[in-house]
This record gives sequence, C-alpha cells and structure tokens, in this order.
Amino acid sequence: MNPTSPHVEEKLLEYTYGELSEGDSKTVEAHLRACATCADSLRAMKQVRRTMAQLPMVAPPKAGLDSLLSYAESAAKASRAKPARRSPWLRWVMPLASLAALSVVLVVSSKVARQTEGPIASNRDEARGDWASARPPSAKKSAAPAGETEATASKIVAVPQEPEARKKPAALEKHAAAPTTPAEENEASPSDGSGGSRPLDDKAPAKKPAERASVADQLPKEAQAPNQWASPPASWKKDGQPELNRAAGDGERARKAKVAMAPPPERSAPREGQDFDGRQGGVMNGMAGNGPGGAAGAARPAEKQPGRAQAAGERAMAGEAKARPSALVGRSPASPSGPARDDREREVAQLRQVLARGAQGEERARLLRRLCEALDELGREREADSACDAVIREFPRSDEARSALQRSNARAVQPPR
Amino acid sequence: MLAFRQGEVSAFEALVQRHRGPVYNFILRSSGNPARAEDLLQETWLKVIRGSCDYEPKARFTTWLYTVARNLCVDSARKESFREVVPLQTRRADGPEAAAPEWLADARPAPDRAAHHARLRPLLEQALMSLPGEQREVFLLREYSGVPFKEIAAVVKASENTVKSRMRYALEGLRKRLRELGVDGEWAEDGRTVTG
Repeated sequence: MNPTSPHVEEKLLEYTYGELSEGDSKTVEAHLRACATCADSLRAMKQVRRTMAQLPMVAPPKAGLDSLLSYAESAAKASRAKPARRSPWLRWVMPLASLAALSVVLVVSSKVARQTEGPIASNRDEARGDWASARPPSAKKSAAPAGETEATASKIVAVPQEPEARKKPAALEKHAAAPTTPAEENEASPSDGSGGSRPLDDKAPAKKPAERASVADQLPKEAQAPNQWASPPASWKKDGQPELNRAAGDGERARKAKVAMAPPPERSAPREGQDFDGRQGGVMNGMAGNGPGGAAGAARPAEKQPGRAQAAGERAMAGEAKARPSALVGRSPASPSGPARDDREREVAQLRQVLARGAQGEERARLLRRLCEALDELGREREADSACDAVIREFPRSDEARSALQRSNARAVQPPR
Repeated sequence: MLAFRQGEVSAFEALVQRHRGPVYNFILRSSGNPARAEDLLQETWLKVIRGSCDYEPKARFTTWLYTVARNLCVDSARKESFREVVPLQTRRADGPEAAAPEWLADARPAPDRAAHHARLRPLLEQALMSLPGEQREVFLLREYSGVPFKEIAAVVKASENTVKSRMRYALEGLRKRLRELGVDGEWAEDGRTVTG
C-alpha cells in the first residue's frame, strides 16, 4: 500500500469503505483488474481491516445508566413544562425593539415636559420681572414659601430656553427701560447700550487681550487674583438642561448644607470654587479670566472633556458650599465692614464705570454678574437683584446668567435681613 | 433527538441503547483508560441532555454525539498530560504480553477460539494505541463506529481530504505495527470487518 501511488490509490480507501458511487466503483474495479499495484494495496488494506475487526467491542459499564435516564426524565419534564422556544433571531430582535420603544417613550416624555415647562417658565419670567422691579425685598423674601425650592429649580431650567428668553416679557422690558430708583438707573443703563439683549451665542466681537488688560488694570489689584469660581462650572453647557438641573440640585444641597455649616475652612492652596468669596480678592476675577491663563481660559479645556468638566462642576459647587457659608448663610455677620466694605463700594463704583463705558458681550456679562455679587455682598439687595436680572435678561443662555440666577435664588430663600 | 427535545424520554432511551456501546468504545480506545472512559461517557450523555434544547438537526445526531465525545476526550487528554501517568506503551519493551494492560486481558476460559482472541486482543490494542491520536480517532470513528469520512471531517474539524489522508496513514501504520507484533493476515481467520 503506497499512498503516493498515481493509480486509483486515492479512491481505494473510499472503495474499501463503500463510499464510492456506483460508477466510480466500476471504474476502480476495472482498474484493479488491470493493475497489480493497486490490487496489492487494496489487499493490504483489507487485511489490516480484517485483523483489526477481531478487536472485540467492550460492553459499556452499567453504572450511571439509571442516574442518566432519571436525569433525562427530569429534563424531559422540564422541557415539556417550558413554552415553545423563541427563534434565535427573535432573541436578538426583542431586546432591540424594547430598547427602541423605551427611547421613543423617553424622547416623547422629554418633549412633553419641555412643552409644559415652557409656558410655566415664561410666566415665571414675567413674575420674576415684576418681582425684581416692584416688590419690597424684605416682604417678598419673608413670604417665600416652602415651594420656593421648586420655583427656583424651574427658574434655572427656564434659563436656557431660548424662545422664552428671547420673547422677553413686557414687564422685564419695561423694567429695563425705566428704572425706578437712581441705583437701578445706574444698573439698568448698561442694558440700554449696544450690548443690549444680544445673547452670547451671537458671538460679539471679543475684545483684544490688551484692551481687556487695560480694563482690568483699573480695578483693585486683589480683584485680579485668579478666581476659579468666577469661571462657571465646566459642566454647564450653553444649552445643557440636564447639567442645569443637576447644578440646581447641587445648589439646593449647598443651600441645605449652609444651615449646618461651620465657619468656613481656612484657605490654603487655591482650589476650584474656594476663592469665590475670598473677600480680599476675587471681584474682577471674571475679567482676570479673560486674560491668558485666566480662570475662564482654564475652564475651556474642561468643556471639551465632559467627564472632567462634570467633575469640575461638582467640585465647584461643592467648593461653593464649603467656601461661601458666610456669604450664603450669615450674610449680615459676614457682610463686609470697614475696609472690606470700602473695597466693595469701590469695586461697585468701578464696575459701573466700566459698564457705562459700553462693555459688550462676555465682558459685559461678567461685569454685570460681578456687580450683582458685589452689591449682594454689600446688602444692597434691590440693586443686586437688578444687576442679576440684567445679566439674566441680556445673556439668558450664558454661564454668567446661570451664576446670577443661582445667586438670586440663594438670596430668595434667605430669611430677610 | 427532536422527540426527546419535545419531552419523550423513550426517545432518549433508544438513543442511549443504540449509541452507548460504540461511543464508549470510541472513548475507551481514544483515552486508553477505562475509569476515565466511564466518566467521559457519562459526561457525554449529560451534555447531550443539557444540549438537547439547543440541538439543531443540521447534521446527523451521530456527528453531534461524537463531536461531544471527542471534545471531551481531547480536553481530558490535555488535562491528563499535566499529570504523571503511566501510558500503555511504557512496558512495550517487555514483550507483547507485558505491554497489554490488565483490563484488556480476556478473563474468560478460552479454549480454541477464545484462547486465540485472548492472545490477539492485547496485540491489536497495542497496535491501535501506537497510532498518533489524530490517526487513531479517525480510524476508530470509521472502522468501529461506521461514521463516513465526511462526517468525521465535521467531528474532528478538518477537511475531508485530511481525514482520508489520516486514515491512509493509520492503515499503513497499523499494518507495519501488526507485522512487528507478529500479527499478520493468517491470524485474522474469519475475514470479516466491523463495518465493511
């Protein structure tokens, strides 16, 4: 038997085992009659098979057979009890279909929620406009009900809704156009400027760094210290409603935390959110952020990285809760007095001065927000409200607006001073 | 198998009755260890029961059954290769009688034919175990279990030509080994084969 033989060796194996077709078998048989080599190969093959066929079959052991059959019986019972199997493709399609249905439900529900939220938000905007312009601060704040929390949350949610924000309730317009007090006039006048109600999205021409620096130079030195709180939490996207809701939740937590908060921790290394109310500095941090390496500049890369941005936002909010107990909880005891108050007053004056020069775009938004904060620190709530309103009204989708809104919300839940 | 999947235990009993012997012999002669063969046989049938719900009649039941059994043999051989075992061929140098393990010896009284088989059987076992595993499994499946070459190719996951080639080498190897052991054609007196 030679496997490399060019004869019908290839077919001999199949021929031996009866796997050839009838035609091929006849061909092989004809060849075998004429070819002694192939006939010998076949003979050798058959001889081996004959010999090996004498190897007896070993009977399988009986052990385990009963247990096997009883196991089979129980398996058969189980399969009888089971419903008909789903076909393999259904096993894939069903989860996908349910996932698709779930996503449709989520989309629809979010749209419905937005639609129902829209009118409420605009109503609240109007109400807010009235509140900012007409109500006596102490009376309104003391009347803040338990449901205020929800109201503040919905206000925050309402900010990024461009259509409502652009409609600008008549009351707000009126309020912006005709301030009632000299202080309000001071704050409202910038809103009549060219910056107007143009949102940040309109991409107002950014000021050159040198120009920004010149404005910043006019402010107190300590005001230019890097202030990371001045840059908004990076998780706040321009139109990121979920982030806003979360931020509102964090603000709420911060507000709750402030009640039981001990005196502020010592300032050591500057951390995100910690130097927000470093009273010795941080007034014009927003402007400092405009410069190279400023806080706002530092926040930009974080916006590109959502995970880090979110973490930064959370840290910032937590930082707010830690670092601002005096600003949020005990305003009156922590209100600046003496030189600090003078600094604040000077800061307010300078801010107004810069605003009156016609600051525009982002810079104007920052200045207004800082003005709001400074006035708030000084306890001039009405003016602070007015400044905050101006930010919210003029730059409804900006981070500054959110910050201002948060501050005014925090003020709203405070007991009257 | 489909009937068993529907819950008919009797169908499974029929399968066991028909295939248990050949599968056991395949496992026994593949592994060369009766104790391990017993375990593997049980495991094979347990796998058949467990896999019955996923069984698709794409190929013959025997193909699936021997695939399961063969995979278990391969896994077991792999595990055993890490242990210290005394293979069947260890004492081959001591002579044909000494090379045969005790379980292979026929204990029945053997005048005449039985005596002949009792002498022949260990030699045949020895010749079989001398084959490389790849050739042995192909020979066992074709010669003793009657599985066609095409199906063997599916069982061992090789091409049909590869299987035939292995079979040719197996027959050639056996022929040489039998001659070495002194088993030639004259020993095979009845001239019958299992499947042919």
